[in-house]
Amino acid sequence: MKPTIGQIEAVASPNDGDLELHRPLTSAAEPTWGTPEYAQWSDHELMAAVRAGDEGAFDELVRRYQSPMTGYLYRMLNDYETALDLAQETFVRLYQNAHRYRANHNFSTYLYRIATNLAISELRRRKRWNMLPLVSFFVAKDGDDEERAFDLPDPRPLPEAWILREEERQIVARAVASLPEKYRAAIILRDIQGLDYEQIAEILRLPLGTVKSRINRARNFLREKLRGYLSE
Amino acid sequence: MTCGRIRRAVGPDRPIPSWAHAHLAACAACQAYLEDLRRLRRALAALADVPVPEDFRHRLHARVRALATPSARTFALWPRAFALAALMGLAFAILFTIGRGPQKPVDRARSPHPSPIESVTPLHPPAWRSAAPSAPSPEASKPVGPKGRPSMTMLARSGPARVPRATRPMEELELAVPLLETSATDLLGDRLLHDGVILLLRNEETQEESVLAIPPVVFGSRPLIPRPIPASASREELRRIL
Repeated sequence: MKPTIGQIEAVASPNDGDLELHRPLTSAAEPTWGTPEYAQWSDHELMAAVRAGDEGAFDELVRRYQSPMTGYLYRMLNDYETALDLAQETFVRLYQNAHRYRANHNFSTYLYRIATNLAISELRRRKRWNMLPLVSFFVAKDGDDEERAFDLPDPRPLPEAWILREEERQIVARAVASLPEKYRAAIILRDIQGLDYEQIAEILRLPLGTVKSRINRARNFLREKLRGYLSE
Repeated sequence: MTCGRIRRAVGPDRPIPSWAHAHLAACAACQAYLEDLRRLRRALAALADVPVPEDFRHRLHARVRALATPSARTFALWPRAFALAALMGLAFAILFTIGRGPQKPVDRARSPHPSPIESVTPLHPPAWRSAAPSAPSPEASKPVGPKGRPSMTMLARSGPARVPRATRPMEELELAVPLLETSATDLLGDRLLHDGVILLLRNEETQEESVLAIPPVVFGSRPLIPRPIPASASREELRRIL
């Protein structure tokens, strides 16, 4: 029977809030990837199992968060390959530091925090070395001298409405990429990733008022920049 | 009520406050502003979907397993260990090179005594005495210790060159340490750090004499604690102390 969070927290260590999950765990040598059982576990339960060496639980966490992490890092860095690398690094660090994980916070906050630190380090490294993403070599020019960014290929058919929507997506993505970092992180976490304000404040380690203000400024900036592009 | 206040209060992701309803119903600009924000939020939400390669999880698990394998971890530590060792070696070399400064070459061919005596010289006019403890002279009995501590008088110290190793035979040591009647107070000169010294000290209260051998160590060590030399010490005993 799957224990509830209340049961788990009841056996938590009184000193450090560590979880001690009392249930038979899968052997590390024999991972049970894709076991439907894991799909019903909460993130905290899965992390407790990861701490005990359960690779199946780790795989379930990766399955749940690989897309949000890749999406977040891609929008932060505007470089797909680096975003994939850093998304992998995020999960590697999660695995390596599983013994330090505390269940008194939202798991996704913890994971986004790791990803944010990696993204900020990468952006600083780029500034230091004045690096350009490889994508920038494949940028084409439109008639009005506006750059058209390379985007990911999609095998789907190309109806007119979809083309228009895709074009709008690219324009919006470029506008987001042009935001200053401090506004970019806040608006991506709120309006693209759909996190709540309190979570964003924890991830960015900022006061709640500052987060709200940054998101408001970012929206106004984008509204001005995308005036006329946003469809009805 | 200004439009600015309304625009700060409304947003696409929160309910409109009751006090703003009347203004929004009357102000077309604020209505358009709020509608723009709603469209923007929908457009941003469409960016959430980013494809992930199918092999993402497999590559990740390969990395995690590589980390978990002890042999791989040990192997990965080797370059770091080598780099650390090389760095420490370099740091030691630089410290000792800077600390020693240029050494005067010793012209052993011209020296009548090729023994360690050539590497030590007295500090002041030679008033030689033997290495064995003896009665202090009137000049040497002047207390130099700080207030509240037992007064220690330095009777002699070795010369400016390097101190010979304590493992040498006693005869050589006796030659290598010309003891000098002096009341010098500068026990910790620059030479101490570079060459090391051997001091003969006397406690003015107990009249006990001690040999203090301070090795040529730049850092990471302390000088040896002075040990009293009993008056009846034999040569073997003195050799062991030194």
